Amino acid sequence: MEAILSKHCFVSALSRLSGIADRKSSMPILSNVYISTEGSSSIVFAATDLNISARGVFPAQIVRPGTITLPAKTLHDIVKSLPEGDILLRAEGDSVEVSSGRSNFTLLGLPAEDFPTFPDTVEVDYLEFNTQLLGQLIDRTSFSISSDESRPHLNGALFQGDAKILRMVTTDGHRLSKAEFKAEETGFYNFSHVVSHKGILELRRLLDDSLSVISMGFHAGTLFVKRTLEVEKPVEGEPTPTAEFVLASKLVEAEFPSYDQVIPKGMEREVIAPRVALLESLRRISIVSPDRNMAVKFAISEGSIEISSNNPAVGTAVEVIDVTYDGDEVEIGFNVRYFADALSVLSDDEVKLELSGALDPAVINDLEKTFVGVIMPMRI
Amino acid sequence: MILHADMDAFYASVEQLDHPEYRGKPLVVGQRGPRSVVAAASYEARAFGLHSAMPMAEALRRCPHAIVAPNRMDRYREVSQQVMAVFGDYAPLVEPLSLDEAFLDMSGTAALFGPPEEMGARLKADVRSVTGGLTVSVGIATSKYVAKVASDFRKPDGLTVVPPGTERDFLWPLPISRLWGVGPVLEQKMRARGLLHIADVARCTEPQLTAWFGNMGRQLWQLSCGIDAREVTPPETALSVGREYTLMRDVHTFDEIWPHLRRAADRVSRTLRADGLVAGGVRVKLKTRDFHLQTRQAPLQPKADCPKQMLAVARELLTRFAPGQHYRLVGLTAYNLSPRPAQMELFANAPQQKERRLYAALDQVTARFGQQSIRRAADLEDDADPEDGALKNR
Repeated sequence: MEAILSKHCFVSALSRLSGIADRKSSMPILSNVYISTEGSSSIVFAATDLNISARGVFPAQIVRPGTITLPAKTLHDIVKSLPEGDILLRAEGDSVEVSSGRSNFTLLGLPAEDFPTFPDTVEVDYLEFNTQLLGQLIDRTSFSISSDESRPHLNGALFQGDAKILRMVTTDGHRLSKAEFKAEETGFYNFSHVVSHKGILELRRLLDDSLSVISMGFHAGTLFVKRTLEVEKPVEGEPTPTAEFVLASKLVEAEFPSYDQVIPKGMEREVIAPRVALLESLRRISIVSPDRNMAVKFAISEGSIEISSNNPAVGTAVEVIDVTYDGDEVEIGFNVRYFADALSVLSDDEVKLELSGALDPAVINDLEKTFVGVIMPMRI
Repeated sequence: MILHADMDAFYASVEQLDHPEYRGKPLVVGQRGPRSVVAAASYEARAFGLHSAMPMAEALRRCPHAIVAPNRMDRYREVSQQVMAVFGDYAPLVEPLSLDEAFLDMSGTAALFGPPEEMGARLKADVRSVTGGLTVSVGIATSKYVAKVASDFRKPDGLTVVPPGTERDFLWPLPISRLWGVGPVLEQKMRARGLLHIADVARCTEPQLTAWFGNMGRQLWQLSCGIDAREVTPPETALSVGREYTLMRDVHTFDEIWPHLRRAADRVSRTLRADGLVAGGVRVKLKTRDFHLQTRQAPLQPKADCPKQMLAVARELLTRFAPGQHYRLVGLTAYNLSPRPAQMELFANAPQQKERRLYAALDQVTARFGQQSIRRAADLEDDADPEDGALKNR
């Protein structure tokens, strides 16, 4: 194999793929990126960890066809460090030369025949999604995906679309985040799947401002995402070279918990609070909170919330925030991070907090109700 | 006085207990395989020179007909909990060293259990009865070190008491390998200095030993004289919380036993909540008219600090006792304790959530108006609530 491609294009391919390659796997080939020439002017790059696969067809000048796999991270680091300009990739057996100008690297590859095949995309029915709204759904929920891989049903995001709503829900068992947009804004769909945590993060990486819509499809237990990437800086009057990029993420088979049951209705207390002031106060107070359980106390009374933290090893912190509230007094403890996470994904000036008792869940809403956050308290 | 209890060939004995066909035969616990090692060897296997940590291949070369039983750690852990529970009945301070070995601080227990020989014999009988036939070797002495040497003195099924003041008579004839910290390398060095028995070490001066063996010298000298000031230190959190009632009249039927268990569960769960603990298991304890102690236990999933779930498990456990017996003692113990997590769960099931609320309210009532202010209606009938049997094993 022998191919020439621009550094910009090469970096663009590897930055999309080196994060997917699995360096911790017991199968060494999974830490490699697959490289194969296609015709005379394209080169295919692919990576997989067996759950998530990605594949892109990038422009290149093919001198001699062939296939190889190379360690993704090493190759990425090398290519990033090379000067601007063309890079030559030449494979003789398993030995691969990467050179540019007077720099020359020889890497040991593994044969491409052993690389897992990319999921078949022929039968995928792609639907178009608004990238901006999809990005908001992810940003408002992905922080509360459980990181506990032993609980697969929580280790992903519930993603649903129907005639009324496009929705994403996540929970780690202590808190829950639900974000949704009306179908009039997003378009009408008909699906309900759980997308893995890594799948959500990789999907998010594909949503950028240069794109108004992105194609996604569900097929054979897999989420497929397809988009065109610009691989060179645009030059006035010339067509920008592009790559066709496909992400395939295996869906989570475990059933997502029935989230609707744990979103409380008919709460006893309602507080309207200034979002940024509350968030900043929580961040200050958390400086002294015990790092293991991060508990802060909310003492809510008419017109104000007193937020405090007491860490026997460090000291105490107290701050009072003015809020709109006219109910009776209540004291309730929260993990400060859970509260701050929810507040920081919203953009309104004010948020609505709904509470009942010290052992009951709290609900955070934005005023348009496109976001619902449920947070279980801590015993204090 | 300190008691050291060490189960005899524990894993191997559990296998022989559970598999009668293995009894009296050489048996090793572990896996067949080129790299595996022996986890435990029965006494029959030890006769062939087999011992734990020996490569399995070598063990099978020396004794090709040995039975190789796979390691069942969950089962050993279960039996260990039963055994540790017995230890807890004898001493307020129990320091487990591993699944099959513990120190007990027997200070002040003579009034309850009699002289050391009698106490040791009773403890051994209880272990045998609770486990259904396992033996334990016991050493009783004034220090941890001497107690441990004593428990090893007449294994298996041994009982060795070293009365205060006789430590030297007991230790001195023993070889130096019985000193704590003396491995093969140090033993060679000591032999080179002409030290063969503990008495030889005791006859040296401490500075002399320190000059020869560095920091170890001081420890060697102290141990050789039976000096070991370390105390029995139980683990930080309580191992178990239990309640048991020795009854005025023996009980026989489920209906007779149940109210006592229920009362025990109420008390135990109240202690758990007050101490901010949750239990991962429940043990029911019954003592027959002729003083045979029997226990059955099962895990609690999820962990609990309210009686309902404990009683559901206890009810099932009751069916596992042999029917038709008369009991003089009924008890319930919560074990596998851990601090109650401060963070509440979103998907905790509704009935459990409801019970938590109920008991939070009950605890507030009793905190304010006293324990007798609110009770189960079913407990009103028999007002005789014997105030005995609070057990908290540290």
